[in-house]
Amino acid sequence: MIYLSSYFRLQLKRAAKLIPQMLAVTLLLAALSALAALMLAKSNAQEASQAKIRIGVVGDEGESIIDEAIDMLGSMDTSRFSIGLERMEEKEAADLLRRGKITGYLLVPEGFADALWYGDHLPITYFSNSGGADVGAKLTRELVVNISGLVLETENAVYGAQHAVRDRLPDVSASKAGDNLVIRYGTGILDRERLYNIELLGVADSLSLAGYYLCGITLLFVMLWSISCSPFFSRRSRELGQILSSEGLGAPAQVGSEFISYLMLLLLALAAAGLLAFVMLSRFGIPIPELQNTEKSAFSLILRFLPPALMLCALQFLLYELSSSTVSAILLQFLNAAVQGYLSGCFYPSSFFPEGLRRFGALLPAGFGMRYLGAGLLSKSDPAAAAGVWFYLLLFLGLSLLVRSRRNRS
Amino acid sequence: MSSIRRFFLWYWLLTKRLIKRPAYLAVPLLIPLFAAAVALFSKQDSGVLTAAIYLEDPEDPVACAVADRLLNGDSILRCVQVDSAEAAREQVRSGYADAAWLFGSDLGAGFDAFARYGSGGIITVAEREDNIFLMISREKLFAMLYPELSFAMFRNYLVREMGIEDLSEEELRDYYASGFTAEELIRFSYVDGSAVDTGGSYLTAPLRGILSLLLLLSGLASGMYCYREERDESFVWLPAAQRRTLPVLCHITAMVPPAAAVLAALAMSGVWLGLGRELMMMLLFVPACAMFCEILRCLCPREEHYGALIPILAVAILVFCPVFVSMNLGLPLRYILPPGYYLRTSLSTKALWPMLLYLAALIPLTALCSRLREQLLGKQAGKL
Amino acid sequence: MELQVENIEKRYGSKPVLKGAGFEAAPGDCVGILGTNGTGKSTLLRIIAGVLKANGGRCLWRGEDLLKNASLRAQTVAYVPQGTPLIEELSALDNLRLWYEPKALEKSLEEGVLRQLGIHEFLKTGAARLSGGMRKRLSIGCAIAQSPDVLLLDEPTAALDLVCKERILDYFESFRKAGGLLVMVTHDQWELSTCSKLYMIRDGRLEPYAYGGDLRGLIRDLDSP
Repeated sequence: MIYLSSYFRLQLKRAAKLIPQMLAVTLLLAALSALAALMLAKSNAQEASQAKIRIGVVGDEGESIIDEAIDMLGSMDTSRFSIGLERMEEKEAADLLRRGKITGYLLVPEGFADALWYGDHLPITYFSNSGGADVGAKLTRELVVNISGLVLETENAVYGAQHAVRDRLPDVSASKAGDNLVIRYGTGILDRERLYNIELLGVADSLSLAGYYLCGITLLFVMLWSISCSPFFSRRSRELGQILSSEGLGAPAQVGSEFISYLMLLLLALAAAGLLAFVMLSRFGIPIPELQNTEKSAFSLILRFLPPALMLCALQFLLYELSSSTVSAILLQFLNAAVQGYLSGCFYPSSFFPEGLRRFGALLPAGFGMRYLGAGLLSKSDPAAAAGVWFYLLLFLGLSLLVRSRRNRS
Repeated sequence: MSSIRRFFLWYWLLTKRLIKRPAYLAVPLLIPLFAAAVALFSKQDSGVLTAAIYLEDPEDPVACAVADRLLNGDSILRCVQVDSAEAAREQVRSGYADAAWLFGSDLGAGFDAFARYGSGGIITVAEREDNIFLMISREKLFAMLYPELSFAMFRNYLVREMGIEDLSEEELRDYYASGFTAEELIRFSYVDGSAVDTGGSYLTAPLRGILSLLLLLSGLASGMYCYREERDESFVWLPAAQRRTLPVLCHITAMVPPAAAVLAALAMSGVWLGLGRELMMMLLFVPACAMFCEILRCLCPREEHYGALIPILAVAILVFCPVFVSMNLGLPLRYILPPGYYLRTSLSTKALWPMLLYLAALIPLTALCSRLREQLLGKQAGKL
Repeated sequence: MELQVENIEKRYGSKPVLKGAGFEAAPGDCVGILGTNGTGKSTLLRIIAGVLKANGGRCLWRGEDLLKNASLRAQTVAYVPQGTPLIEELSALDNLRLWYEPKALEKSLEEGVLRQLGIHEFLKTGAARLSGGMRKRLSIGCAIAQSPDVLLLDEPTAALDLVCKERILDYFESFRKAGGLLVMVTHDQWELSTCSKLYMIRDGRLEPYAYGGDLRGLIRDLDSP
């Protein structure tokens, strides 16, 4: 027992030496994560003054049709929030696109209005940055295609109406009829929100987007944080482990002492990060519906966060046990964070994935962690998630014991 | 032995010391597997948002036409058809779907009423919360039902407002079709003139960013080795000038196998930009990362400080560089981080020049920091 | 005297370690430097080797200051630190390949110094798995790749078994006979006995020392201020 307590104290001391920089890392990580959360929350909020997607419109100054089209689209209820069209010069547009201030710009060719008058089309070109297949780029492209479809259908109707009026009402000005129809479209159809009867079902049964990302960012934080603890693991003496083993302090005691010391570091980090996150959430007013109007105490939330943190801690411990060098340890830890984080929905929500990938991600340790945390936020119990978390925890600890025993015997 | 051969011998032996570690070797093997798996899954049915569609009258031709466009179109919005309104609402409540679109019976009549009287509430949209993504999804819905809605407006205008009451449905449709001008109004182009590829999946899009981060980490991890080698004086027999530049070579050797794996992964995942462009980008990125890692290492007196920086850098890159989305935070950090340049170069070839400048700026900085570290080590030696 | 170390000064911050240390030696000499821990023995060696920069003084080899001429120093001086600076993940042969030209390596393994040191016996073994004596022999083997004239050694046979010590000291003897110059920091009686000149470092300076085999007397002298 003397050896065990001495060894445990030794590990605690080794962990304690890392506390200053670990706390600095934790606070910086937490601040960065909170900043990301803030940006996500702001992009989600209904801000009347700022459109989500800004698209430039470039064309001849004399083409009033461009301004009319921009005004028309801009007067729509929802387009104010989703798309913002702005008239600008081509050079300005290219510069803003390069700097990422706009998602793309439409180049209306010279003579567009005249060609339209005669029923011809000069194609409008939509310029964007190459290589963009991310969600934002895809979404913008679809919206642009939508706009194109709206305009063409409207044209269809206007020209068709003009043909009908010319044929059936020769005394009536077909052009004026066409203009009137455009006004009908402008004032009637494009105010499309009236088409819908919107029901808000509430987020009681499942996580809100903010709540979802709270869980994702927490797990990602824990997985990435482990990299900063590599000195704790790289400086362990393997020979000491073998000697202790021969003196009766076997793998369980060694692994237990080291794991608990590592866990202490993690809990301290979570406490510090939690405090900072709480301050930032309150200060910047980031609404997380699951945390509002509830009786949940901070303590109960922390308790809820504990099992997934324990599980990830055990996985990180195992990865460090398996790595024979610092280089591979760091790379494995990051690969673990990146792969699990991606597949379990910490980056993209898992609802973005196909069914097969969604199911696979849900079976990963971080997948169970997400479910467990999500259930915790909703004050529900998820026995399957809890079982998964504890299963993985015991599995990783067991494997760590096995690896250490083998190493001590070799 | 010529200098070139000597260089390659050293390069090989420095690489050998890494690849003898099974755990290190696992990383370049796992990268392409991960990318291939994601690429495979990205071909399956998926969507950024899922909308559950219910048709109260499955025989309604207008509703069927709209539903057909929604269900079979190529979109990042995924639609699934359900059997009842309650089932649709339940999917939304449970989080399986983001929205439920419930089409009432006789959608055509609903559109007519809207065109004539401005009557609304034709389609019930049930959502859990109102957010920007769902607003955008409603735009998509509107675009899909617009052809029928537009025709309803057209018909209402001609028949009721212009008084041309003797037009048959067929004649109306003929007149509507006669107004056809073009299949598409807008064509797509990239600002740097490269060939447009409207393919690619949003699922594989962040792979490049994640893999670039992994590459940078390989260089950072190599820096940990360099601390040990400094302690052990492993290269004490090298002349001082070469000893200063050796760590950069070590970082490069650590990054080359993962870099090859990254290129293979990008080729497999469908985000490949062409061999020439990818090689050029990698040839700039790897040395930039190596020098960046060396600068950091020189500025961190101890291994613990350096190790502590790694996760911070990882998160900073995920936040400030265009890995998932381009969050234009206006902070200068993205001009310091190598993956930022690499990813911007992937978006536009014009960004190659800033990257070259960045690389050129790193060279004297690295040399300066190496000298500073030498002095620091000299001071530290006295404390031993 | 071909090697003249003059007035070497070294400060760590405001703390002076070497205050004008110096000695002279000729080819064939074996210079031993004695002193208690922390008196600057290794520092002096590292300055001559170019690992550390001096705050003052010079180190002349045939009239040329080695401290200012890095390429001459690289050709002339080889340094074997106290630890064994090997790449652990590589084999003994691969460690040698880092420093030797291929033909020179082959020749030395067949009939040269490396054979004399017995390194040919464990070429394929990974450096991490070598014993202390093998590692030290391999380190020396790597250090002398450029056929230096001066060999600087920091406690070369510390913690080695007697057979290994003998092998290494035999090599040093042949190195001296071939006209090489050895400078070693030592605490070992056997090493002391092979030195042709001894210096004790005190208060940052080197003082010539005569060791007559009286170990207790040596300890007293080391301990005295």
